Amino acid sequence: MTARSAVAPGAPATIDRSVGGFVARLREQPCCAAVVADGFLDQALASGAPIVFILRGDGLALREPIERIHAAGKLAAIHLDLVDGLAADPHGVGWLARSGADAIISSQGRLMPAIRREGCLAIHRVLLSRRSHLDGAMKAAARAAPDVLEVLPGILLPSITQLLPRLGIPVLAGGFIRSAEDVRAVMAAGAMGITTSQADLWAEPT
Amino acid sequence: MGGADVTLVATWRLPRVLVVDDGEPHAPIDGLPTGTFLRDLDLAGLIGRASAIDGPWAVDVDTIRGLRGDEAAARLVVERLGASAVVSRRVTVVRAASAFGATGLLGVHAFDSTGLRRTADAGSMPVGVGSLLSPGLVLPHLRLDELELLPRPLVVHGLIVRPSDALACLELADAIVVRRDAARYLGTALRNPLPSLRKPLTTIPIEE
Repeated sequence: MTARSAVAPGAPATIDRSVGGFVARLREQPCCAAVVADGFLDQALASGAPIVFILRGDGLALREPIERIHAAGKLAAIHLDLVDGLAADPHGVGWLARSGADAIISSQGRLMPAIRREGCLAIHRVLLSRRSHLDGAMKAAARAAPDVLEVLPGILLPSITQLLPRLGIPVLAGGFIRSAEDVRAVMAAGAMGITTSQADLWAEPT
Repeated sequence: MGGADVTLVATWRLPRVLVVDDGEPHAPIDGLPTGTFLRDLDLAGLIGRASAIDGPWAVDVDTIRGLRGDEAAARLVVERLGASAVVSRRVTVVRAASAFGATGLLGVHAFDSTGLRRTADAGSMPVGVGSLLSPGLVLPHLRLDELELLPRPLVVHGLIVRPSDALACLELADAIVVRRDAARYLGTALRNPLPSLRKPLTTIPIEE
């Protein structure tokens, strides 16, 4: 694991942006808040979710939401491919880093080195659709060497875990995880954390 | 499309189990009626396999190398090659396939609930065609309101690695796509489900 501890612009100095810090937060509370629409952010900030994933919105106007996430003592992970206004290229990565993102998510493995160079955690999202694609997708993920792997649809992890190689990096699972029972099953299958827009799974603040 | 009308409700006229083509001659599998699913070929390979296959077959035109996903492609595979069902993520292709007399299946990826709903809300779910859901294994995890977003007939494809999962998908879908060895096992499972479900499952490649 990379031992980074850079602090994002505007982030309180107490926020640890290293992989170890990320994992430590997940160990305390594995369910991360996936913000997929306006209005979700307030709910996420009021919850006990340790990390807020921004999957929608204006990528060119994220500084203020990220500052609010930091003010709530949480990490901000931004999905470069899904937010509006930014190209999924190293310049888009740079923009998000300067906006204060702690982690940047992309399905494009080629961006992982750029994300790491900017001092952010690199999260590679892998979309699983067919078994014949699994091998190639996981080899590509291994080549990309992200800090964290996010697997979708995460609900399938218990059914397909025997098909996935052990890459030695933390795995997040997202997609169709709707209940505490789902969370337990996916964690038992090897996930270190969950990303979900299901607000009732975001823990209450402690 | 020569003014052909698209029917308002698509129907499924193929067997409920489609076997991924592996180059072998099509043969009945243990009493299980099956069709053939063609994918990941080049254009010449598609033409060769289409002429060699007995029985109904479907094709995912987006995976055929050398074939552009447009109306001309739909005409080729339906009118000249005889496809009974055509899969594509392009609405124009599946609508054209339907107009030419095949069942058009719109390819739909379901990686999370938000993405699935956005696909439906984008207005890309046309009438007169069905859908092919990928990965098919998510089907039992969909809520009813999500299931209703998917036009019928509904075919599922992908990551179905256990016979129990295949059977669960068959309860909800009009058809599933599996490999030949899995189809053979599935025939046994359908006739005698309880012992089949108790078998060790992880080494049985139901789905590619």
